[in-house]
Amino acid sequence: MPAKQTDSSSGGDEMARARLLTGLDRYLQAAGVNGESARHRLARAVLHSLRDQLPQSGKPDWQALIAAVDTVLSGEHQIDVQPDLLCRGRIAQGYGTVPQPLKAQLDRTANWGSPLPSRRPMPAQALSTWRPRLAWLGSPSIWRPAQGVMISLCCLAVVFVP
Amino acid sequence: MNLTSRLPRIRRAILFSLVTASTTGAVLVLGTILAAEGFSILELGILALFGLLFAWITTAFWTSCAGFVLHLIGRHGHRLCSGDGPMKAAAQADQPASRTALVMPVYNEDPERVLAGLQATLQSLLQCSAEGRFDLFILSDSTDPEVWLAEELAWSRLNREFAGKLPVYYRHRPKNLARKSGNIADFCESWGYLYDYMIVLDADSIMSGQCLVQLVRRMDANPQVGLIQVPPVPVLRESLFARSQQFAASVFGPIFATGLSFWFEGGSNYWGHNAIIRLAPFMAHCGLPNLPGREPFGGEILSHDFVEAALLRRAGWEVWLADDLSGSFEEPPPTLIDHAKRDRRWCQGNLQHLRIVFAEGLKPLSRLHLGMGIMSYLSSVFWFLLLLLSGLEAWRQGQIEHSYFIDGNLFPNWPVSYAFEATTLLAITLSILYLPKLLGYLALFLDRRRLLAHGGALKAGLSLLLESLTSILLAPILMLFQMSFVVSILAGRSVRWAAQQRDDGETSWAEATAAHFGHCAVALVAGWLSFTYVPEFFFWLTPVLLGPALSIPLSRFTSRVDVGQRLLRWGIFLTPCETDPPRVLQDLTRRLAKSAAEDHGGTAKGALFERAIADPFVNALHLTLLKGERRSRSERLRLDALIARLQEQGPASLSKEEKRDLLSDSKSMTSLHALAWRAIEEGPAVLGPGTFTQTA
Repeated sequence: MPAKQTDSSSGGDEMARARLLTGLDRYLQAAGVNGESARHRLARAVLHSLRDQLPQSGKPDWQALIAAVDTVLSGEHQIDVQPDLLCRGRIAQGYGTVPQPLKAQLDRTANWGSPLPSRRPMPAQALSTWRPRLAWLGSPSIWRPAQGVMISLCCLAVVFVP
Repeated sequence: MNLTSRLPRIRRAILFSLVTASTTGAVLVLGTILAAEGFSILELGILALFGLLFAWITTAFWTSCAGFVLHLIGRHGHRLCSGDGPMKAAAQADQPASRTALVMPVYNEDPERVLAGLQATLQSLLQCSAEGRFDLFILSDSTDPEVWLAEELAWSRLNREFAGKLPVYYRHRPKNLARKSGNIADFCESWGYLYDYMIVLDADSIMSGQCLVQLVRRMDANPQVGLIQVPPVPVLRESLFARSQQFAASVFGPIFATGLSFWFEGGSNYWGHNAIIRLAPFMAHCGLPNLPGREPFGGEILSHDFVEAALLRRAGWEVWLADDLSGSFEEPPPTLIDHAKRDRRWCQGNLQHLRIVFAEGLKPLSRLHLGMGIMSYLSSVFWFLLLLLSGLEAWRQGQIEHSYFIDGNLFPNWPVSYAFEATTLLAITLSILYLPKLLGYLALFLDRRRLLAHGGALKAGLSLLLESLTSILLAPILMLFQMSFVVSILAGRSVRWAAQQRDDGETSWAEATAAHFGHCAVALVAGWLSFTYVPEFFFWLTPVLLGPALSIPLSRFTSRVDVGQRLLRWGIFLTPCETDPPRVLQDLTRRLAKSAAEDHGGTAKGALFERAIADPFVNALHLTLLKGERRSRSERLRLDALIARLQEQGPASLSKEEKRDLLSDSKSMTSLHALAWRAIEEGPAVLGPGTFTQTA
């Protein structure tokens, strides 16, 4: 009964597709897409982007689904994403009404949290202990304040000791 | 060399002479008293300790005196030395053209408080039309997974609020090497090249936009200056202990800061935050080495600020204290125990400077700053030893009978009374300790608005008396705390890095008993010994023993917020920041109240780890901020095992460290997000009971 088998498999496909759409709808709602029609449109776009995978496995795994959602949301918010940072689509959606400059920031900077770093090491400073040198004893710049201190102490002694 | 360029040296020579003269005088008087019947070893010890401690308190005394005189003639410390010219020109200049990074290193701090503080600071900055010249970096070293995620969400809100006006960046270090100094160094090495200056903020720092702009202007106008420190005013706490500290800092702080600025000028110090730093020399000359040997004296430099200032000075850059700038705030520890905990950290850091104070090439003033930092903790040990030796000497004197006839001498040897000299010396010592407080109070009368903001002459005077009483009771307790810290550090015990208590958490009876039982015991034993063996010494000792003997109820009582609030209603310990708070503090208070009333998507409730797995936005936000790290095969297997455990037993089965490991790995977080949504679709059984179902 090939015709009947085709009917049941197409019915099963429809059910799987409906379940997938429901799951996607829940995910998009959690991602911050509040409008029902927008969710419906985005879910169809996700399924469309996954059309190559659908006939083989019946249902793609959630990792592929989430990546597709990110791609669609990136397109929706017109942001250019790197392959390893697809999740920016969800961020752009999470931000809601994002002012333009932030979108520009999302576009260009690879590391979104901070500007591009450029490692310029700070050289560790020497803090070795100072040791007196013989030459130091002959330094007049050391002796002048010392002489001043000695004279002050002598004056104090004259005033207080008697 | 003209007079202007020699002025700083002359001033320091004056300070040195004043301290030396006062100390020599006091030591001579005490020496005369003690030498009545010849010096014993005990007496020589007393004399040496007294001289050291007298020099210590006299330095603070003359600093306050200089500050008071300057306030009296309406001048500030730095203006006298650097001249009105460059500073005035800088103040009149247009907006600064240089680029400045505001950097805030955080370590497991309350993200809501950090966020509110930054919002208030940035808002104030925007009111000064400073767009395009300042960027903010939140430099996180947080190890608590919940705090880490809350910081990311807080940053995202901050980024949204100031988008297009002021860039706000966030960086989390997976390994917090070299603690706070390592965190700042990592910023300098990564992004320092982009900026002319950085302004370092602590997690509880608040700075007004005007203060920030003024700091940049001063740096622009003085290319020889490497660092300008603004004294932070303690604010916003409500416990009795904190309010008395806030009052003391508000009344006595300004004259002391002016005095410091006057004596030290371009050789001032750095206090770790609320300061602007010129990045190029800082990066070239302030890389901190690891000290040889093991902790607590070796290893990473803990109190990095003093050392960085010393290194800048060694490289020929000036370090200034801007005592005339307002708009710089911080929050003090709310209780005596929190104050002691902070002291424990600082104590180890400062004692570590014993290895640095003699480092080659440092300027004498830098050595003095390092020495003063060390002395601020060693002085407690010296005070304790002085009390101990004085007690022993009093007991020894009690044992000796005076001999009226000495062999070979016809005339009787009458005992000589030195009561007058002793009383005078005591009066002078007390004056040196308490006169700065009185000068601070008198300085209020120079500015009527400032006097009224402190509650008026009567209430400010009453507050002064109450503050003095509190400090008389608490000082011996802090002395015992600090002495135990010094002893434990010398015994080789190192301090762990813990976040500071920043809210008004009161001390419980159990906490107070655990912290102060030893102090109480020491006071009772010392009291009993002196009363039994040297009763006349006991009454002299009473003011010192009273605080430690009552330390348990005292610590609990001073931590109470309701007492602090009641005193506030009565107009006691009032400060201008309470009577007429600046706009930036008003904004912070409003934001904190709003944040307490709202719940930003459950960030305050915890369970953010689960949200980072299941919530599409939180997960995506976290992933974009993660740095891709290669994992070894064994590490990957360990992470997979953690994911499996999480699926079977839920998040409660993971420790904080394990959660942090998963959060640090983008592959694990991506897999967990997908697994969570499969679980939500197929039912909670896949990921364990009740797990990851919040979002759906």
